[in-house]
Amino acid sequence: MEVDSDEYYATQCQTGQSASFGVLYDRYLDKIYRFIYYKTFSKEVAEDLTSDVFHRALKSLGSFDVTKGNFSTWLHRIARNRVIDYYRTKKATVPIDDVFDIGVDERTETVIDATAKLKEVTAYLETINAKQREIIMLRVWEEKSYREIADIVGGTEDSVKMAFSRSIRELREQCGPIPVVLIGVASYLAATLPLAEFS
Amino acid sequence: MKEQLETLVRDVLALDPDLVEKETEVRALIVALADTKPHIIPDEAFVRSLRDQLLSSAADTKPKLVPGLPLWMVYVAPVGAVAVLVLMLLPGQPVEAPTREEGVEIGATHLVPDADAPREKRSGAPTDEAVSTFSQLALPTDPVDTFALAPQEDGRAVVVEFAAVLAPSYLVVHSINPDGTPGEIRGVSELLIPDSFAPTTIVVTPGLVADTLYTAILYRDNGDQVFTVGKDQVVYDGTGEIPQQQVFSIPAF
Repeated sequence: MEVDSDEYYATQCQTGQSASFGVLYDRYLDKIYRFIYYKTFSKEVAEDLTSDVFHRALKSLGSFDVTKGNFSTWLHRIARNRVIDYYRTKKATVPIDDVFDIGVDERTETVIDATAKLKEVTAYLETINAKQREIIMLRVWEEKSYREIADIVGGTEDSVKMAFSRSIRELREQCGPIPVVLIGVASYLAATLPLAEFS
Repeated sequence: MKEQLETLVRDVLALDPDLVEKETEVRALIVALADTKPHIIPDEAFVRSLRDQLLSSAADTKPKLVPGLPLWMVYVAPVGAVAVLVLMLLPGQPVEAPTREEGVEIGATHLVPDADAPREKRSGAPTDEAVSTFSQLALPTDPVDTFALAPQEDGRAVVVEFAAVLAPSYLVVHSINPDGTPGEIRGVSELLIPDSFAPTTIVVTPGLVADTLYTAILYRDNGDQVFTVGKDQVVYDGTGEIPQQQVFSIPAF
């Protein structure tokens, strides 16, 4: 195990060196927060769930086994389960896997200037299923490898690759001139959304 | 970033050669998707506050080793304890499920319409042995919540045959959605207390439908001793998974 790796600090924490958890927290806070935010589009909910995820991780760290997977995947799985749990308790009749669809309605909780444009973009993403969408977010936005994504969402590396490829094809076919539209929206978002809007 | 995008384009084109002639569009689409990534920055006060909380909790929950006890024994001892528990539950040992003749009473209603009816009339239904599994008793490395459900009759209750919880909890029976996820709540057990379990029943409403799968999930009581969706949270095991046991409703005869 490499010194300075996530797994090294996790092991240190398991042996009682609590400060090591601070290192892991600093490395993953932003990632987990974003991961949850993409699924909820609510600052308040993202903060609540992120807090819960790290508390759960700390509580369960003793059972983390470095021989069975890496810390990043382990933590993301806790986060993913927590989001599913959140939607399950919030709206039990809605398929819990399809949290993105619910999230669109819930985004009014965090009003941002470009909500309308953001919805326009996400409308295209809503034409593909929830798992494909999650794969796109993890691959394109979070730059996770196919292997990491497979470990987080389930399935094999090949199946994730195929799902990603299929998603791109479907997006291109369904949305026709979407690239032009998206590029326009992307430019609009980049120009109009100061970072502070999300903080 | 540019290199990452090129990798994505190459992957897509390699997996779907039909798109090669549309490479420009594919590239533009992927670039556009990447550009729409929201720039999310957590609130600094939140980040600091949570960090302080966690480090404080981490300091309070350092492993409490028994003086003089080797570290490996601290982890092996719980495994041994669970192994003993499993042995106690093996067939022939003095741990008995409620018998069919006893029935399961809910108010004045017995779940077994005809206790003397021969079991052969249930041809096609899973056997008791197949249905009553102790799937939650896989050997863990840390103490975990465990529970098991008895064979079910078509009726209005699920029998909790065994439950060992780490903290006051509820077992909740859900229907199962077509996509395999837990659906609406059909019944909730009474509050299960650590170290004081007696076989109990979960009244389900509406009644169980014959030959249908349901799933039971453990929820931790938030301290108010009343089950409330959203306040009492699902119990996760050490791997971040939700322990649950499927319940198969056997048709009544």
